[in-house]
Order: sequence, then C-alpha cells, then structure tokens
Amino acid sequence: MRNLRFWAPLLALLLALPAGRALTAGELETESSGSAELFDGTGRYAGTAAQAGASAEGKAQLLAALKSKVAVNGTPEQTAALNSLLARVLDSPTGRELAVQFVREDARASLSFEDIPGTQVSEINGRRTFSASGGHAHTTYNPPTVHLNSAYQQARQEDAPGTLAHELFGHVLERKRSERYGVQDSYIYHQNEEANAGLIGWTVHAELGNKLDNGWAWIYMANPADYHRRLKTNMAYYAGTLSTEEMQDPLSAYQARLRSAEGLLLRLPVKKEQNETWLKVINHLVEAHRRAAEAFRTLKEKINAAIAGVASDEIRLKDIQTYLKQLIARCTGNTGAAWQQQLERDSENAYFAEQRRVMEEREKVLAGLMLGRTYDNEQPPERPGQVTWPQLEEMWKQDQDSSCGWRV
Amino acid sequence: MKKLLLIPLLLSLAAGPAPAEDKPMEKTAEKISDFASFKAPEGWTQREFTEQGDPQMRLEKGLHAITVRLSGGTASRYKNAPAFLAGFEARSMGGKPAEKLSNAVVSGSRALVYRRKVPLDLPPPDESGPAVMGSEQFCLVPAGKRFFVLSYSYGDSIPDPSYDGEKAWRAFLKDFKAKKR
Repeated sequence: MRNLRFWAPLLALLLALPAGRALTAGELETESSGSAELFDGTGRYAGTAAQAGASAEGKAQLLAALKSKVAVNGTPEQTAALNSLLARVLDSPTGRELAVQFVREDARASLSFEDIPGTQVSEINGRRTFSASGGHAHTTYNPPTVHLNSAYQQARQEDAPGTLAHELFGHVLERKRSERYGVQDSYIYHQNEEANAGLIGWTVHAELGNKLDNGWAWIYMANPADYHRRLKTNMAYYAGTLSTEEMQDPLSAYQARLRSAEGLLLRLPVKKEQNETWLKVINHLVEAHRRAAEAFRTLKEKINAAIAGVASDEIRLKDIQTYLKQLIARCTGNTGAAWQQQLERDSENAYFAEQRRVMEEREKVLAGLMLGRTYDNEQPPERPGQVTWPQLEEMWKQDQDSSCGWRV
Repeated sequence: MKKLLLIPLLLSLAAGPAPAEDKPMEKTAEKISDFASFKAPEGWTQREFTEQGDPQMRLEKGLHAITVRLSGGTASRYKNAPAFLAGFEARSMGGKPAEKLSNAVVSGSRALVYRRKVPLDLPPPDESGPAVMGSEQFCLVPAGKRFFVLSYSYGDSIPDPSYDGEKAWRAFLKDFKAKKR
C-alpha cells in the first residue's frame, strides 16, 4: 500500500495528460493488456512509430508488442508502476520510435526496481528527491536486466521514464544492435555508448515536457568533445572508452589519459591549500578586523565542502588510474596485440558510423527541444547578509594594500 | 548507467567486423599563430588543437584558461558570429543567452564581453544532483569573413587566492591582434 501511495502522483500525472493526446498512458496501459491480438502474436510487430503515435489503438498495439519483449518483475504494486512507466515512455515520439526498433530487433529485457545502495530520499523545498543512480542495465545477462532505483516509487517520478528509455533503449537495444553488426565485444569501449544512451534519455525526458536540468546534456550539446573529455575523468569505466580514431591506437590513448589523470591528482593538494588559504583569510578578517563571523557562514560552508571533496576526488582519480593501468597492461603481449587489432578493425565497422549518423539526427531534435524551453538555472537561495566571493576578494585586496601587514 | 564486469570486458574479443565507412574526423592544418598575434601571460602554457572544426589555442595556468578559437571556416560548426551567439556555446546552462558583461577594445574593434554560467563539477551522468557552477567570459572579434572567439574561464567555483586570472584576461584582450590576410 505504501508503494501505491507514493506512486499515486505519477498515476495522477498520467491520467491528467493534455487533450490532443488521444489516450492517456494510464488508459493505454489498461487497453494494451488485452490487445496482444493486434500484432501477429509471434512477437513480430508490423506497425510503425508514426502509426503508434497517430491513434490510441496504435499506441496500445506498440505497448503490447513491447511488453511481449520486456518481462516486468516485482510486487503487484511495482509491476503496475513499471508497466505505467513503459506506457509513459511511449508518449514520447523518440520512445515510440525506439520501442518499434526494440521489438523489430527482437531485443529482450527483464525490468524491475532495485534498492540501490546509498540512496536517500529527502525533501527539498517541499519536494521529495534523491541523489543517487537512477538505474542501470546489465546488458550481458540473459535476458539483459534493467534495474530502476526503487526510490522512483517515492520521488522524482517525472525523471523515471527518461531513465528507463536510457537503460532499455540506450543500453539494452544498443547491445542487441551491436550483436547484429558483430561488434558486441568492442562497442562498449566506444565513447558514444554512453553518449547515445544519454541523448535518448534526455530526448525522451524533454519530449515528455520536462525541463532538462542535467548538466551533462548542456555540456554535450555545447561541445561533445568537452563532454567526452569530462566524462573520462568522472568514472573509471568512461576513462577506458575511446573515440573511433582512438580505437585505432588504444594503447597511446590510454597512456595519454593516464598522464592526464596523474596531472589531476597532483593538483589536488594545491586545491586543498587554496581553500585552506581562504579559511585563514576569513579567520583573519574576523579576529583582527572584527568582521561578523556569521556573515562568512555560507562561504565557509562552501570552502569546507570543497576541502571535503578533495578526498573523494582522490579516490575517483585513483580508481581511474588503476583501471587505465589495467587496460595498458592488457594491451601488452600477443593477446594484447590481438585485442588492439580487434579494436582497430572494429573501428571501421558500419555500426559506429550508423550510430553517429543517428546521434546527429537526435542532436537536432534535442537542440530544438532545449532551446525551445529555456530557463534560468536555479541556485539555492543564499542566506541574507552573507559576504559574497567578489566581496571577500576585495576585502582581502584592501587588507593586503593596508598597513595591517598580515600575510597568509 | 551501464553496469559492466570489467574483467570479462577486458578478456572478451569479438568475431570479425562487417565492412564499413566511417566519417573521418574533421581536421584543419591551420594554425592560430598564422591568424593572430598575442602574448601568453607570464607562466602560462599553450597548446594548439582542433575542435568543433576550428583551429584553437588554449593557454593555461593551473585552472585558469584562455582559449583563442578561429571560427567560421569551412569545417566550422558555426558559419558566422550570429550562428555562434545563437548556439549552446553562447548560452548558460538552462539555455538563456549569455549576459553582456562589459565593453572592450580588441584588435582595434569594439567588442562586447559576455558572461555565461557553465557547469563545473557534476555527479556521474546516471545520478541527479546539482552541478557546481562557474562562469565563462567570451568575446567575438572579426577576422575577415571569419571570427575569433576569445574566452576565459576558471575551473573552480572557489576563486584562486594566489592569482588574478581576470586581470591576465583583460591584459590579454588588450594585446590580442588579428592579422590582416
């Protein structure tokens, strides 16, 4: 019952879809349960994404076909919620297009909620939220498995369809496509594996009328090369991914990336020292010049958070370093040479060129959605009366120019 | 996020690939130094590269970065300056156009210096959570039928107590000259 209560806002949202959409996702869900006969019963779906978007019956047919490929697991409340999510994804044109492809590729998946460690649901400004992974796909399982964070049953329900599309179509369907092209063992090393899934999730999310507040989407749309560069220092797996060009010489790419990670590690003590310098400056202003300590509270919180973040940055960069060293070791010897040759050969496979072509089309769609619905990036409200960074910099400049004589 | 078992990933090798055509990466042999003259601030490193179809030079000191980019060429993502200003690289996160910060005279032309909000630190892509935001300043300078994009950013939301990067940026703008070609 608890889960149903938490899921109620999404169900209400689904039932409140605007007129013009012939059938709500909730109704679609109900109708599709009895509509298996609308496709040929062997799992072959003869319709198109356009047909699925043109009528309620078309949507119901597509949903029934998709559900014949996706095994939904969990309690009755969970399976109801997951089925509603599948239906909601089909309210997006991109979701429908990819659902048709999923069915035609004869892709399969098992879908369930999972309690993801470290997830904490909290309330900010009266709204429930959580800051943890939204889900993941195990693409090498048989069938491939998609786990969505069970916290979606309580919070951020509007984000769940985009996450589901990201995992189900961006990762599981893509795995199936890579098998068709014979590159299932190398495509996971390509940097577009995540970027393509990202584009799918962002596009579905935006097409469903949501504000796109994921910083990665804005970075990607501004400059894909910058997105890839940043992602490679964000997590170990991404540090091992390659551009098509780098697949032709992976060892050099990994060696260069390792040097870059080592350079970032060397910067961490400098970052810590710079932040500690600001704490000393604030303490000096309070103690020697009787500035109100309370006015520096926000800045001190930010500085202390940055100092605390240095430790997690170090762990992350060391993970990346370790993984890159493993990959470099993997490149050595006869087995390593064969693996590198494999990546080099596969870099010329049509799979990657086709994926790039589709991504370019998707980027155009997403650009229209993002620029058609701009917003001011919200920052948490500052406490009143707090010293700002420019003010602190000016105070310190004046202090240094004065006869005070204090130095850090 | 895709969950991977790294060891099987490393050990697995695929069957033979299908033949294909791939789009070659856009490259240009052009060098920024052929189109502009400027002096890097003291102690800054510099490197040339090509990105978004444009020759670029990045000057760096720690997390301070000045980028000189020649846009509007045949391989460029942007045909002209209005196209650049309409694009994502001239907007803050959320899509609002960059704000007009100040005026400057650069290479004999009056230039508007813009400022936009950019995400600096982000959680992993599968996690939601607020980005740590910073800002980037940039201005456009005409270069015949093309244009330079000059930009400055500091890669941390907490200022550098030991170096005034904005002062170096302002001095750089004064010194920058587009070469007549």
